[in-house]
This record gives sequence, structure tokens and C-alpha cells, in this order.
Amino acid sequence: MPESQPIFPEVDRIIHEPARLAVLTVLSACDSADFTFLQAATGLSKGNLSVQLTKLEKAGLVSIDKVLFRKTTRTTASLSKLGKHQLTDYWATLERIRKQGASKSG
Amino acid sequence: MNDSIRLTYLTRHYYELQGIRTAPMWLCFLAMQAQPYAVHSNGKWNDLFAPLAMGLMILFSWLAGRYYRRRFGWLNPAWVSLPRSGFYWGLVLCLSIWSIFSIVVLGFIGSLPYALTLVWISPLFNKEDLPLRRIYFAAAGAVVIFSTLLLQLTHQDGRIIVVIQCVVLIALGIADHLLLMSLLAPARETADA
Repeated sequence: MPESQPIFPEVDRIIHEPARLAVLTVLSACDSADFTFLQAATGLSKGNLSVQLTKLEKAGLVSIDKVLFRKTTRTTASLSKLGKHQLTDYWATLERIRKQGASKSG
Repeated sequence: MNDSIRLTYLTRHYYELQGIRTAPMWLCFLAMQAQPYAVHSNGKWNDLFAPLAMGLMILFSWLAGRYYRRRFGWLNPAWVSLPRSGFYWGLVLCLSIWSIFSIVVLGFIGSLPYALTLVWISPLFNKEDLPLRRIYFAAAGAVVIFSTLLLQLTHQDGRIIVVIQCVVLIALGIADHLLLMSLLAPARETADA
């Protein structure tokens, strides 16, 4: 294998980052979740979570809704169809890599 | 427990683990059991007691819900997690039929605590639930069933059975709340913000 080639070329880098993966894992287990829940579950700071959500939205993996509720803006996020598909693909890829690794070492 | 399992479990069971929400209801039942001993002399107070207890129960349940919503947020759950065990549902069906039969035909309400216990120990039969949660539900179920059996065999006042059920359910609520707290992540040091 040439040195410049990445080790796991097929892993989606957008999903692979731990903070974004945590957000996507939460969203894959529910229909939608608000910003406070995402923050409490993932332990991310407000700023970091906001940045990660924006990146995921730009990639088309999540959709974000902002609703005005009792004079405050409520932000909710949900996994898009593409997001569900990509996340399933991501876990399948990791599983494939794990099996390859196990067969090589075993 | 790895992060993926923790996050999935927490999200799927978020509302189930909000144990403090149900505590006011069991406290209300407890108060109703104690009422005849505490305020037997005042008829007016007796009439007011039940609506007042119900009102306080609704108020405190709402406040508990508000606390969870404000502190930890909310979500739209994708599904309701129920036990998939055929044995469990068979047992629920048999015990429910027996309870209804014994109440309607025999006029005996003694089987009701067992049927109710079987309903609330459902997490014990749910393989998706965490082992720790299944253990404390099993322990709580055993305490209620054995104490009920003992009290029935020694012909004790039925109120004690209700009191034990309520106390155990309050304890389970607190245990669920503590589990929720332990599942929520500590502040995470993250990479590329």
C-alpha cells in the first residue's frame, strides 16, 4: 500500500468525528431531539454542539428546525433520510473493517 | 458501557427513566392510606383531603416534568420499548383473567397486587434494558410479592400491601432517576469545534 493512501479510505470523515457521531447516534434513536437534550446526552458545550450541528446540516445528514416558543427559540434536530442511510453505511463499513482486521490478525 | 450503547439506551428510555415524575402519584396514594388514621375527627377535612391530594399530585408531577424538560431537554421518541417475551405476556394475560374472575365472581381482590406488580416489573422481562435496571426491578418485585404473600397468609390489613407497593414504587422512581443521571454524559473535551 502506498504511504500517501489513507488506511480506511471508505470511512465517512463527517460521521467519524466522535462529537458528530454522538449527535447522530442520539438522533438515530428518536424522531427528533431538542438542543438541550443533545447537549445533556453528548456532554458537548453549546458552541461546539452548534458548530457540529451546522456541519451535519450542511452535509445534509440532519435537518434543524427553529421554532419560537414563549419568546425563546427552540432548536430541534432530526436525522434526514440521507443521514439514516449514511449512518447505516458507516456502521456497516466499520463492521467490515473490524472483520477484515480480525481475519488478518487471526 | 460504550458511548454508542449509552446514548442509544438513554435516548430510547429517556421518559421511562424520569422516575421523579411518578413519585407524587405514589405519595398521593400513600397519603390516602394514612388519611383515616390522621384526620378521622374532622368531616370537612375528610371531604377535602382526596381532591387536595389529587391537586397536589398533578401540580408536583407537572413540576417534575418541567424540571426534566428544562434541565435535560425533550425529544420525540421513535418507539415504546416493551418486553418481547411471550412468557411475560402469557403470564400477564393469565393473571389478568384470574384477577378479573376472582374480583367479579369470587369477590376477592387479593390477586390484584400480583397482577399490578407483574405490570410494573415489565423492564425485568425486557432484554433491551440494562442489567442493573433489571436487577433492581427484580428485587423490588420480589419484595412486593413476598411481603404481599406473607401479609395475606397472616391476614393483615390490606392497606399495608398498598403502602408497601407505593414505597417500593417511589424507591424505583428514585433508582431510575439516579440511573438517568449516571447515563448523562460528563462535560466532554472535544476535538474539532
